[in-house]
Amino acid sequence: MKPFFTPLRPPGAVAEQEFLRRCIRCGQCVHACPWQAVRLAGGWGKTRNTPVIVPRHTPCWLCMKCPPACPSGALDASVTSMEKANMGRAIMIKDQCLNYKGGTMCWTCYDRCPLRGKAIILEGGILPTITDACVGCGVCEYVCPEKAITTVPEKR
Amino acid sequence: MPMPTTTFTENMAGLLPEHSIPPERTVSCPSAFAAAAAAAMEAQSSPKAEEARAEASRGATATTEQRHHSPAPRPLPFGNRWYVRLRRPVQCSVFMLFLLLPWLHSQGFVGISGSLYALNVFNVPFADPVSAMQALLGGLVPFSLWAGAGIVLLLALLFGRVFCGWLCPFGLLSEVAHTLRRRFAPPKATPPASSPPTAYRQWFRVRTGLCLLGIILAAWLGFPVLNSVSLPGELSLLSLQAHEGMAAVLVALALPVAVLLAEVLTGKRLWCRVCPQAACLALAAACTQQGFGVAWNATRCTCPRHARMCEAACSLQLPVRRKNGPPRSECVQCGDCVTACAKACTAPQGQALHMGFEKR
Amino acid sequence: MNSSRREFLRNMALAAAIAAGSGPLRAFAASQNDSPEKWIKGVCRYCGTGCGVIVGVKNGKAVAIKGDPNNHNAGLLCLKGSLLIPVLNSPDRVTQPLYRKSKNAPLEPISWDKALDLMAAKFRGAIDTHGPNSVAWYGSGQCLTEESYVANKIFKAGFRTNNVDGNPRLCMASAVGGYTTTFGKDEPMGSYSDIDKATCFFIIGSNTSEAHPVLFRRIARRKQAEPGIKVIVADPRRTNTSRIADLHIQFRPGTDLALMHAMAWVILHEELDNPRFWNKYATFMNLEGKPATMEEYKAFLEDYTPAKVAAICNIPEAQIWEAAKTFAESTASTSLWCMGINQRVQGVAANNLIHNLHLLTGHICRPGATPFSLTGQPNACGGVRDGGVLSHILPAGRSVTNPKHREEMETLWGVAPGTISDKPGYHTVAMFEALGKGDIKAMIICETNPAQTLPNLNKVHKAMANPDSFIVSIEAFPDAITLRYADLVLAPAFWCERDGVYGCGERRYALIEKAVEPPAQCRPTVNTLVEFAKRAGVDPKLVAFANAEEVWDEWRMVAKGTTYDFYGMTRDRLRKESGLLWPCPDETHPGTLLRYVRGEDPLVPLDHPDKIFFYGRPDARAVIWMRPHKGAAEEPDAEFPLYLTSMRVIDHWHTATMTGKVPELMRANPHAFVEIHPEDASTAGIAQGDSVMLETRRDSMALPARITEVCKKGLVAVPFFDPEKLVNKLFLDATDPISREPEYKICAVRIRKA
Repeated sequence: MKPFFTPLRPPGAVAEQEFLRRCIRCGQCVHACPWQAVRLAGGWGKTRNTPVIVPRHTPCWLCMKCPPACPSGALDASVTSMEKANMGRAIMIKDQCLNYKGGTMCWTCYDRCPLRGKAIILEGGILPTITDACVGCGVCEYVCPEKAITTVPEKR
Repeated sequence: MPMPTTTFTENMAGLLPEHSIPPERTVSCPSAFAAAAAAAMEAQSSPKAEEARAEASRGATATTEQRHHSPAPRPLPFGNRWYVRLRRPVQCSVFMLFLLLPWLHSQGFVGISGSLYALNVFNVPFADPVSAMQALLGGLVPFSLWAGAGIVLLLALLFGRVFCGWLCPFGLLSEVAHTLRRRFAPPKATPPASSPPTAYRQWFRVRTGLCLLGIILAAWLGFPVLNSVSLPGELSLLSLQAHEGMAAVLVALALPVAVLLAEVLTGKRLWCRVCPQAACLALAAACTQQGFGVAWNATRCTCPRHARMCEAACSLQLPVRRKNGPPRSECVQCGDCVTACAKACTAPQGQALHMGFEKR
Repeated sequence: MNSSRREFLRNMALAAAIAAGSGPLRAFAASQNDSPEKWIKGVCRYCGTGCGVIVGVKNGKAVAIKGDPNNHNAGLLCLKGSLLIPVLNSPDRVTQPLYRKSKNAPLEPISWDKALDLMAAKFRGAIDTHGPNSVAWYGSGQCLTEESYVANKIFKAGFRTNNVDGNPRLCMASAVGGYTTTFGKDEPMGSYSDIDKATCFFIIGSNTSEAHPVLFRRIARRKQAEPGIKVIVADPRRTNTSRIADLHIQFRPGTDLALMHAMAWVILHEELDNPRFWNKYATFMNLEGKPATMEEYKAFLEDYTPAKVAAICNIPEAQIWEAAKTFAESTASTSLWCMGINQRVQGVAANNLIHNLHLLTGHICRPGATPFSLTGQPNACGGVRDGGVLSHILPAGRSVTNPKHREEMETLWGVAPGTISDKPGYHTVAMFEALGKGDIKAMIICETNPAQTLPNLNKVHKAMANPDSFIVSIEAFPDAITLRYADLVLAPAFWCERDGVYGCGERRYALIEKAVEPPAQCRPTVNTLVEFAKRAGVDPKLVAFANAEEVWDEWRMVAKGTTYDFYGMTRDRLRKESGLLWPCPDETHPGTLLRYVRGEDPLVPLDHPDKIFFYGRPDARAVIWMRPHKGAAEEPDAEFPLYLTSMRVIDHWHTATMTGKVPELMRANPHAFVEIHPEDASTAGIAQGDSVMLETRRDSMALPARITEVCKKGLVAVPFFDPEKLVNKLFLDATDPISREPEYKICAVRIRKA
């Protein structure tokens, strides 16, 4: 867990403040995750044992199995579609991206995006561009060979 | 000599706390009990003890003489026998289950998920009522959490604090530590208390107070504070923290280990007396005297006032020989007192303590 | 709301700070450690696009790679290509010959000397006892041209067998069949530069964006630069390629023949054809291969009216009209196709029908107007197609069955007349069947992984496990599945550890120069083959090659004067230039962008009366074929109700023996999966990520589901790169009757939740 960062929450998480109140740290979302992407935060603070996703380690593949597993409404069980996961959004650091640097064309982020063609589009069929449809699953951050993408939690 | 009756509990390498029996004699044999009985007899000579015995055996028909005539320990009633035999394996399996849960999930077994904060057992929800109350501060929580908390409270109402005695992993560790300590460093023979222990009333207040304080803090700080100091929850999440590496495991184990150390050093089970997680369970359990629990049949109680085998066996030092048995708010339904009673029992009608739904 | 905004901004700032901090640091670190001493020119090891690369070398070790700015890719590489250095430097290599004493024994190191003696003895023994046709060569479109040429010569002239085939049979034999049946000669007439001049792209059966990303980028850039350009994609899957398309025709798998006939019908019906062109340069052939007339062709097309075909293909009729009109009305239309057309039992027919569209409309032999077959392997065109390293052909477009061609080759190779067998050898599927039956006793498998790539793999595995067989594998990577069945493994030098020529999809030959030394005992395959041939009793004069350059010079001589004439591409010239397109008959010739065109193609006389001269055909007219629509070899039925197709992913190339060494690529696509349409998934009760059991008549296999709308409903797709999930066990080995290319693209399957 990086200090000062609001951690990235599993799909369907309510706003962070409310999330901390509602989450009873039961770990059912962790068990529900077939990818072991949802994991427990450590430390001693108020986030201890809350579920977090560290995309650079394992991203969320938006299988949407965790929101229904949450017993306390910290993850909104009514969120069942990938498009509504609303975890955050990905930010591309363009001066690290191979496409923007030139020389190499790489569509790994576009290709592996669970919302392919919606959250990341190929501008002009070439340049990967993150759109407002991005839900912040972090798959692009995970697969990016240049680590040019960072996922930040931002609720919409 | 009558046949030795060796119960399962006794076979478990002396995990049963033995107050007055030296460790080398934990394996039950009639002569050990005869010696214990003789020691108890000697204790009767003081006038104080005489008075206490009179008080304890109010309405009792059994006399000291009768005990002398039938010194053989008795087997527990069938149901109780299985109750005490099963408890430790169940405790261990529950702990193992939580430790192995991620692996089981990876093997395709997904029937059980969660931790002791909230558990889903084949789609039947269980939830820690204290957690549920704290979650309520974040807004209306889904029905399943209420249902889970309700089921747990109902269980506590009917069966008392079986959660603590049967499921709680920290309870297991604490009991084992307590037993081991008793075994390897038996406490010095302290003069028996003159009156039944009443400290439990303080524990009840402290526990309830801690719980209320925690809930207020949770409302104020904006996160379930009590879940940060919940030992059962923490231990049931251990396997998930293990996924994060050794450091995370050490952090997760820090509090339980510290508490265990304190318990070993003081020789008392400290946490379980004040565990705020049990506050709601204790309240629910105390609501009725009709539920499952230890019942004391005063007419059969033949132990002298100062030789309370049952109370000595109770790791929580609860008063047992009371009208409705040990206080339901505190008793974790471990059955140690019943076992001890059976061992010490010489009454032909049977032992005075047993577990069940009937009260006397 | 406000606080979350603040939070977001704070996170943004932190993320940017971390990124900004790490970026220059990384660049700094890289510049400190890895600045190469010299850059050496080569060609990318992966797909048939054949991008030029330059490899940075420091202290005898490859440390960097970038695109060759002078080659057709203009300095651009795809991700796979830009991560070739970790593959080259991978410690996971076959570094010495390995020998397996019996089929069940483990592979054990053996010295080169012993290995070659043993191999020579086995081959010589097999030929002496069972005749020359008991040995075989199974080559690859990844071997250098020189390696393929030497092997071809050893087997066809030295051992006198035509059992010489290779994996191009699996990938582009149908394209060869298409070009030769329509134009008389193999290889496209256009080049990649046509992409920059085309105004309409008809992409069918090709997921260019994932299989040929650099070319796709060129198309996308073109479309971006000139928005009026139309892209038509015909593919049952909604691939990335189709996302830039103006029109995506998602037809039912296996109905592309009908689709293209319907487009031809529309073109004729709307009088969008070019009668001046087809009257002069085309002729018609009917079902039996007899000459026919336009009237007969029109009558034939009446079976394929858009209304009828819309029902066959399960698409809106309007799409056919629009596609045909867009194709015909554009100023220059280019067709691009690949495995979706080739890997079919109707592969050659489908190729012909694409050519039909071009011949009818005259969109051919003009800049930007060409039927262009994309190819899968870096040297399938150059080494195998041009080099004639298949069972039915001889170098430079000659045929095994043609006595004149055999005679020419016998003279060129200096062997006695009648040395070259007049019977075509086994094609790939038959070759492995023969191996199983024991008809082939000894076989060399070079730089390919048939134990993962052949269809109906269980049968192939059984054949390869035949205890009577002796399989030699020349393979750089020890995790290739083929090595499990190899009796002898020889350690080759890999990619730029030796020099040689690659010929990519556009007739471009480019030299890979040696950049680094191979690991300890690895040897260039040319040397291995020469040494083997000498020991196996082949006339030493036949294989008197000291190095690859000498092989190249001989091969230039062999091709001189043929339609493949590249005599002008000397080794020195290839060292200087970043690839040249043949025909290139002399050292001053700049190479040819447009074949068959007067003034462009040196093989068309400058005083030829017509602008275009299809010199491959005796009547100089290309053929418009009437190939009736036929479905796949195994169509779905009640028992197996869905279509199964194989596909590629952008991150892996073929069997991932190379891309699997790159952590970045493995991270992006670690395992095989099955792509299912949401409706099919919900019918079968399958959720995202569930394990899905795929069952075909051959085998069954569980794969994790990837539910997307990429596949058309009723179609499921699997990639074949994963060595742990050999999906080719599921496919059937029915082959095209002309090209003998197996049908990887369609078979029937049923799915259930595993």
